[in-house]
Amino acid sequence: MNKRTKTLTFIGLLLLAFIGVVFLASHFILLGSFLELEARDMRANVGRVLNAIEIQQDNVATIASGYSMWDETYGFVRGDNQELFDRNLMDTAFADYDVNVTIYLNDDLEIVYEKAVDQETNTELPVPVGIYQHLTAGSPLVSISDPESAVNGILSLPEGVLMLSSQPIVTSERDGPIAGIQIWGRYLYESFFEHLSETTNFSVTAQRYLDENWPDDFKQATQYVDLEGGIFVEPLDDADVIAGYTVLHDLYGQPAIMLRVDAPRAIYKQGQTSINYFVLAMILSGFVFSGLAQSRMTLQRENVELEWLVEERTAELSRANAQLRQEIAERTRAEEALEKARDEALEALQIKTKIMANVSHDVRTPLTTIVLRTELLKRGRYGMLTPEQQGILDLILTNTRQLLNFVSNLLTEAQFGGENIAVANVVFSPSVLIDEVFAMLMPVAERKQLTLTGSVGADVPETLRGDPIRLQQILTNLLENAIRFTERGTIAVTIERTGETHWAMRVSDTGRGIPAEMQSHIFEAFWQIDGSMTREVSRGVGLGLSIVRQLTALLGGEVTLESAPGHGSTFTVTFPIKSKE
Amino acid sequence: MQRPLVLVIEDDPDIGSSLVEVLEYLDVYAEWMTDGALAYQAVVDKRPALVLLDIHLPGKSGLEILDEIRADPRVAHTRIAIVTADAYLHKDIRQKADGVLIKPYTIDQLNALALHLLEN
Repeated sequence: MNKRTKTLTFIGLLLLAFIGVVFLASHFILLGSFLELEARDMRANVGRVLNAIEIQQDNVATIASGYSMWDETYGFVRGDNQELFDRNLMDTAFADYDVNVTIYLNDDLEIVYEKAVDQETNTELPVPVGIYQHLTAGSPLVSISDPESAVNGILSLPEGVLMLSSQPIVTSERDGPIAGIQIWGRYLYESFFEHLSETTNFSVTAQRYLDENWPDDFKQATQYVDLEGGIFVEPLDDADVIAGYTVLHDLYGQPAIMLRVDAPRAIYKQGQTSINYFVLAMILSGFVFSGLAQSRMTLQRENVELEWLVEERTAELSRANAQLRQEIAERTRAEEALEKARDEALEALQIKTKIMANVSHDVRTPLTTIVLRTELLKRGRYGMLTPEQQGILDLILTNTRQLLNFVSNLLTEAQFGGENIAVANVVFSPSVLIDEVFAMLMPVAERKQLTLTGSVGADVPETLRGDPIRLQQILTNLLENAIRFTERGTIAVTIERTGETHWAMRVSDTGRGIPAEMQSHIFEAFWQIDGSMTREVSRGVGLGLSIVRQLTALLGGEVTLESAPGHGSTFTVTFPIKSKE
Repeated sequence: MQRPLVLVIEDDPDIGSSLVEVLEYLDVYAEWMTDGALAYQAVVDKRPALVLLDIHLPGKSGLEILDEIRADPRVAHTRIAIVTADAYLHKDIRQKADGVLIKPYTIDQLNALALHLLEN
């Protein structure tokens, strides 16, 4: 049994005990109160019925007084107007006033008139003989000496119970002397109590006291009525009805009739219903409470789970966050490293360019003396030379120029990718351009027994504008390349006009040609067709054509190649014809 | 008629002596000096027809000398050719000078430039 089940069981038992206590308390305290309230109400109800009976009694007395205080009656009793009663009086009185018996006595208590009628059937009845014993002197019924006084009450006779009003007969002015006594009576038939039931809205039943048909509950009630102050209240076996018992006493103070007033147990039932609702409400609220408690426990448990989940998610998030931060830091470091590397690369490039410029300068300076002195030597400044000596000097000059060209290419290559390269826009002569390149490379071609031809088209202007040093560099590289890869035949250099706006330098050789698949690679720096060719041709690091391509682009031109294996190669560089800036 | 003077301002003794000898071979009257600081005054004093001016010089750079000469109306018109081992000269220098000769140069190139500048 886990903690939760234990707690729930405890709460459930506690709740059951609580409901039990509440039920018992409510039953004994509340229902007791209701019962008391019901009894009090029932006593009041019985009182109301007694009041109604008293009103009936008063009615009889009031109507009777109309006859007893009347000159006609006064005279009649004294012997006059004998026909009065016979003629009109009593028959209508019986009918109109629910009176059954009338007796008129004179001042000697002799009966001067008596009559009994069943007013319901309007038939004459015998005057109850039982009453006569009560008409003798000293009897309460006739003990009237004062014209103002009267005797009202009930009298239990063998013929039935009579509600009576005994009054002195006086004049209409209530003057004496008292001529006699008028006794009016009304039988308390069943119909009387039925009528009472109708007027009071209670079921009223009556039993002559100690009748032979005396029911058990009446019998029981006789033991308690006096103890209970005249009214005894008792729920009947039939739980829906409560009965109030009381006793009507006769003129002699003896019990004459026992009345039973029945009423529905509305208060009791209301109380019971209220208690039932109350208990039900308690049980329901108990369920609601336990439901709430369980919901609360569930909520707490879910809350704990949720908190745990949130903590886990938060931890995950912070882990992810930390990872992200670390990745960002790494990336930042990488970017910084990259930036540093780029700066260093740029710096290295600048240093390289600077170094190459210095190398170029420092190679060119001694070459100047070499070239000048060698040329002077060759031109016989220092004495006549043999053809062999001349040839050696040409060799020196050619190699010097190749060395120079190589250094120029290295410098140019170093400059590309660095700062912007200044481009000259000066006047130059196309034919001089060819001459100068030929001057350098003719001896090389001749050594390979290659024919070198140069021509400038007739439509090319005598002078063009541009950067002659770089154009010379382009042409030198193209021609050097052609000589290097041509074993026999001719290399033709032409400068020609291509259309109105452009001019071109073209170098055609009768070499082995370049396969189509390699043509796209040959302009790449340090690229060479294959190892065997590299070994076959003595020099070159693979810079020449790369320099051509880059320089041509720098000067706003374009380089194209037409070549096929076995059919030689033709390189063409085309430039726009420039005017002065 | 007095032969025109070509003033060579060159700190490298091998190049300077070689150039003077080439100019003599080409039948040109030349004088040679190595100190850049004295170059401007020499131009003022000697009024050469052509100055072959190196750029990297001790004392004063060729560019400064060029500006000094161009700033002095007495000698501003003097023909000046820059002779340098810097393969790629800045455009401004090219425009200030009357001609450029990149080292190493051939005798023919020197002759063509000199003749061109001296005749015009």
